[in-house]
Amino acid sequence: MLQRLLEAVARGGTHTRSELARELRVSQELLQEMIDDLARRGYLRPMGEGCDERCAACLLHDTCAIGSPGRMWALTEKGLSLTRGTRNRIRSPGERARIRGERRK
Amino acid sequence: MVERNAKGRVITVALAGQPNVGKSTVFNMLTGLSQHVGNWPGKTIEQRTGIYQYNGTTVHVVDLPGTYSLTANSLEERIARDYIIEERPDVVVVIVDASALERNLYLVAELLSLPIAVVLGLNMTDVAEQQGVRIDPHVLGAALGLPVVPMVASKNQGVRELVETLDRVIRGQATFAPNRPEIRLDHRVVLAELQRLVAGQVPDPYPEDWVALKLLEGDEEVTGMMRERLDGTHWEQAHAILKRHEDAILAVAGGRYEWIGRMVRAAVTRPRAGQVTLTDQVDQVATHPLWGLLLLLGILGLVFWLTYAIGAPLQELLDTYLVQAGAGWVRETLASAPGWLVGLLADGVIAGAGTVITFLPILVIFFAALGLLEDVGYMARAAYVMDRFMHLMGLHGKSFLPLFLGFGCNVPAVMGTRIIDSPRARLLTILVAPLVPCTARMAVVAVLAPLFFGQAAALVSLGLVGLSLVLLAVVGLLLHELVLGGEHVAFIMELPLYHVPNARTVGLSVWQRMVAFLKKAGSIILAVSVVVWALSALPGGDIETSYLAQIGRLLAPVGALMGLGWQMMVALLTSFVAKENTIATLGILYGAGEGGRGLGQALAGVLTPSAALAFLAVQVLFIPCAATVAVVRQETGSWRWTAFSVALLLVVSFTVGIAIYQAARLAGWGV
Repeated sequence: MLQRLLEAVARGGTHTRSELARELRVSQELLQEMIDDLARRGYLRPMGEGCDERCAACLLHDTCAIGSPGRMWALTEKGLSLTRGTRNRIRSPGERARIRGERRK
Repeated sequence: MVERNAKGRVITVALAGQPNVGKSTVFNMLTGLSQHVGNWPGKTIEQRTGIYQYNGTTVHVVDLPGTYSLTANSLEERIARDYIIEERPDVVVVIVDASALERNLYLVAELLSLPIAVVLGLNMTDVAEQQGVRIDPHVLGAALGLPVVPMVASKNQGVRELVETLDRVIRGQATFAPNRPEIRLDHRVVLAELQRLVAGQVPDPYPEDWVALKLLEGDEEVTGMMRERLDGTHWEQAHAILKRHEDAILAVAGGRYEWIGRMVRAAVTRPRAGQVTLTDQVDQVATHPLWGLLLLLGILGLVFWLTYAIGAPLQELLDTYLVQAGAGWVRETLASAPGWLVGLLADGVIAGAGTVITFLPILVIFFAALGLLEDVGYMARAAYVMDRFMHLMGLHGKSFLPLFLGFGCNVPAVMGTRIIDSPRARLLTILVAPLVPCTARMAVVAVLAPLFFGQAAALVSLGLVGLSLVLLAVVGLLLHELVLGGEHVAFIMELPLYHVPNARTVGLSVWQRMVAFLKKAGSIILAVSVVVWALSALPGGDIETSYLAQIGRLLAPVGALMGLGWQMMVALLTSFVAKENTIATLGILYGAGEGGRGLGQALAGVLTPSAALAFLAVQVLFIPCAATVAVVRQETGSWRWTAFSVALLLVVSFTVGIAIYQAARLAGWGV
């Protein structure tokens, strides 16, 4: 189940909770549990609620029309490496170049 | 381990549960005053025990520390699991919060991998009911294979039933045939292999199957224990297996979630009502790949239409009655004052900072619309719908939000990038943000396009917006691939529920923005207007020989490629101060009176349509205003990237301008 969730996320782009819950046939509440679990284990990374501490210092903080567009989680390298089958498709040429560079180092 | 003493049977019941599920309340209800509070042996964590008697049985109740799972993550978890394994209570009662069943069942799944009798106390059913969660305790019990007792411990409901159920379990009258979680098929083989390796080596009282499972999960305590117990070859084999399956925890935990999913599907219904249903229904359209995009375009169109249909006439009114009238009044009143003072006030302060203030209605309408969309909860959907496009640039939908703000003003757009988590994505968004045509640039286009293109002005304006956005995408794509390097983007996003907008919230945000804008107009813009006026008046008071003209002549060679004279280049250059200055500067330079009256005839004489089109394109794509550049510096924290941003926009705008003019010339249009 966790593996399937990671694979669904690793297809790239942004997924909503309801979309993923439908796909995995679980309730949104259970999906949230799995997201939190994967985040605790380092496969996902919570990205701060809409606007993190950087925004607190922003002059426009009180009037920002962007507001707080909900919580987000990003797939980490660790999470990505677990989804080998889907990995190559989502890499951009720039990213492939960077990885080649890191390998050379 | 049911004992009997002179008075009858004596049993031990352990209370397990996650924190804040009402476990202490259940403990107090069960044991009343017969409580003993001490510490867990050798630990500083409080241990509470108590006794109750029922049906001739003395029941010792042990309150275990609240834990989310039974992995040795914390001292509490270690105490709870060591107690269950070493002391083997007759029954473990696990109290779960019915309103958060999904979270609570994880602990139950872990408990079931131990060879103990488990009874489930389904607490807080009233809270669950209030939240629209309905759980059928009989169906849940049947699915789990455990006795399930619904409770509201805070109201003393279900405690008696729990006591009765425990009694039946002790007497062997209740069914206990737990349906245990399984791990994924491919890892079952691995688990069997581990079970074989640890067989006969596990210290008492640890169950072998459980130890093998915990090894596979990577539990540090169990791993440490088995490293000591297993002989060299067995440990090496086990270690090699574990090394190969480092991520087996996902298979084990994943199996538990699969199991929870089955239980929830069987016993829980959520007849969603109100906000949730509405949100789901609206989102079917609002987040749909095609309809969602069309809706977003529709909303954007409406916002711009409102902004310009209502805002533009108001802007003209303010221009006439505030700027023109103000300048006229200054000239009349100060007729006897020195010329430089009149020039400074009328042409510098009023024509510069005053003109900027006339854009207030446009900004107010735009930001009110934006504030409304945000308050309703639509902005997150807009970000989601745009995500696929932003994804091409290595950004995610969230980057769309500051860019959207950019249509109002590029300054908040650049500042708004603070919501972007990745520094790289943030930098990229800052670099492309000035390519969003702001209200000030569009206002200049709105004034100039009709002068050159008459009926086709609307089409030209729309084309210029389209051109900006296409260039934004192209530049973003190139920067993503060439300069900054790709970054994998895969996210999960939570879409907030829709709600009715609050007029006060929207009104307040518009008011605060208005005040901020007026402060800016009264300080930075005012100062710069004075400087520009000084440059156009010094050294001799004649614009043709002014410092401004000298600067403009430096740019004339580039202008020639676009069919533009030095005056046009100066107009462009002053737009750096504030975009609106273009019109003011052209007015001054062509001596056609303030605010563009008669400017059309003057410009028609010096500009061909192809040069005019090139000029408008450059104007829209040119370096953003000084305020935006300052904010770019502030937000990137780097002069290098600020210089890069300025250079990038210079190259892009002049390249496009030259391309338009030269292509039109080659095609023989508008020469």
